[in-house]
Amino acid sequence: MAASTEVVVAYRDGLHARPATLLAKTAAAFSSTITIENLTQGSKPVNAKSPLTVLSIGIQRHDRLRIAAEGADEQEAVETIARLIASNFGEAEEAEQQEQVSNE
Amino acid sequence: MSEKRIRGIAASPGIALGPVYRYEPSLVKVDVERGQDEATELARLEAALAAARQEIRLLAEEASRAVGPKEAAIFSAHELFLQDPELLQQVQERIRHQQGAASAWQAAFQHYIQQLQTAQSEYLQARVLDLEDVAQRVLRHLTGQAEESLQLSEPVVIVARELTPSAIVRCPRDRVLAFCTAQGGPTSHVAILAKALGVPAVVGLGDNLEVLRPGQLIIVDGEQGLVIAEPEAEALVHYQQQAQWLQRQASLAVETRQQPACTRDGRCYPVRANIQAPEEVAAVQAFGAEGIGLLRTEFLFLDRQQAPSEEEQREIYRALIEAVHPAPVVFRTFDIGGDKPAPYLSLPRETNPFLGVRGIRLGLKHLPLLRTQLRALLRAGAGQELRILFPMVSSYEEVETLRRLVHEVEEELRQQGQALAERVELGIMIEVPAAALLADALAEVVDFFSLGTNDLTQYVLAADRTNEGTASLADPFHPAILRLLQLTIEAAHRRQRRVEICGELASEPLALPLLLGLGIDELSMAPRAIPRCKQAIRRWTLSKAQQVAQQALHLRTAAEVRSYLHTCSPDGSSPLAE
Repeated sequence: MAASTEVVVAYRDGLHARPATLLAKTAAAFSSTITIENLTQGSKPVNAKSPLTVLSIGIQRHDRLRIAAEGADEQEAVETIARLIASNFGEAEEAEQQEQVSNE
Repeated sequence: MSEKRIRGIAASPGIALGPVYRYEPSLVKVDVERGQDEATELARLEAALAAARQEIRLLAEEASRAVGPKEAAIFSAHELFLQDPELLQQVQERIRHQQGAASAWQAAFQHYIQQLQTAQSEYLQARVLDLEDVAQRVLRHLTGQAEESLQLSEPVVIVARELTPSAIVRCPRDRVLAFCTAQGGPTSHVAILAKALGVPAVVGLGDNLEVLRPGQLIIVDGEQGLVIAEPEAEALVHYQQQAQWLQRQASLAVETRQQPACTRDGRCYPVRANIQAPEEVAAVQAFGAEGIGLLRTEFLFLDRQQAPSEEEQREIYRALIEAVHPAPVVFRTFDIGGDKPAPYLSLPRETNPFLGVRGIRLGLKHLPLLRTQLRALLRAGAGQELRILFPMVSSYEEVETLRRLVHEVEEELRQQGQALAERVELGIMIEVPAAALLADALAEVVDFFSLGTNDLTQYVLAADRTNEGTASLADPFHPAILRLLQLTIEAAHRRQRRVEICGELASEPLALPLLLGLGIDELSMAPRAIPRCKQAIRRWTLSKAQQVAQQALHLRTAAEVRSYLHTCSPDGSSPLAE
């Protein structure tokens, strides 16, 4: 048995350093083997627990990803990661930071 | 001696004058080497990783103090790279095959750096520096080379081919006047960190940067992305005044942020905050916003397995209304589309989500969801005035349907004996060109318009702002956009309807005379931008802004509009459009 799901990246800059590491960190908390595959760019499934790998496969905005897991907590792993991506990594999609005016 | 002007990319605003400091850290590079026995090399690796981790943690703390926790998150990413299971496996594999720890580390890391270098997006390419920063840190420990620290005896302009995040954070803040780099774009670390530090920066200067010699006096114009070497007296005096003036304005803006924003001829403008999470409500008051001009309600609908209940929504909306009372909250109904997945809606895949079922199109398709939100809003506004804003409207029928829906829901609540808002104002986002062109008709059936200039720009110019190839085309200063804004505002005012602007353009100092001159009634923007915007409003007169807007409407290109605006001064105190 294995679990998998598909999700579209809405995060404006794709999976750059912070979201990529957050994803890998989240994946690392599960015992299952977890892979991430970029369906839009046609990449091979790669280890979702490796932040460098997740970063270096160059996931961009609007890419469709397949998250797959195999192991004792596979279902929960897939759901948690899909949710993380769907939620824009817990960060609302905001326009570029306005420059700092206040020094509070 | 003649003045040299080098153009780059404006990465962080502000102006600085000072001597050049060439920062050229030497990179550690090792040859492929045979290691000692496996256990020794693994132990060396382990020790170097531990030392690097320790350094990165200290840097993260420093960064958090200097620039804030959000920007400091860069370093938590660095720490995680050190623990990357795939990377470590590769390094260990190489060590097992008799490579030395340093060359094994270098080779394994190089693999990831190369992959990123070939990435298509400028954003991902910019992350190469992150990886190099981490790779070098460990290599230095493995080869016993100490990190070169910046010893600055006087305030200088740091000039470098490129700057790693740790180099920027370690710069002594009181000795750094500005950053200039050959590489980097608007999303590079230099840009992000320099903005957070409040240090002017010009990036992407390319090989022209090589003409800058150590000790030479230069001017860095972070507003226009310009570096001037060997400045002549005229430029020198001009920029010295500018620098002082900017500093005065910035401190004035902060001091007066809680005061109203009125032009010198007495027209006052509400400046409100755009927010997208209840936690941000503290920033609304802190930055002097008069209420919330745009509450993006999506936060309630994403990142969950089930839609939020009416009661849950009502409580959150009510709390926000009370938090900013008597100032208003403009609630925008959920703007969800195929690119912002909500699992419980099982939205179909769309090839072009920006032209797909989003905003009110989705709300009208999933009517129970919209009804529930409207019920929650009307109840949350009990006894008060309520403002509701609908996104992605493109036709008159949609507005008629929405109005009918609101009335039905009101009637239903009344029959159920629920307390509800005393007066409801309905507004629509003007972000689809069709809505702008139809503004005279739409103004009959709504109370206010809100100009969403980000999406309007993308749709009018058929250019995606997030696509590097088209980002420069999506310029909101394009005369076509200005004419559309004029058309919309005039149509609204003929029917005594209010026009607000909540797009990023609202917070652009350069655009301010245009917006005021075209007749905008209210502005809403990221809380941080508010003090400066209010201060800028106070410097203009409405009549001068109207003249500027009329002139700009006759120009042919976005570049012409921008350079014209740069020459416009509200009161003669500074040629900057600030």
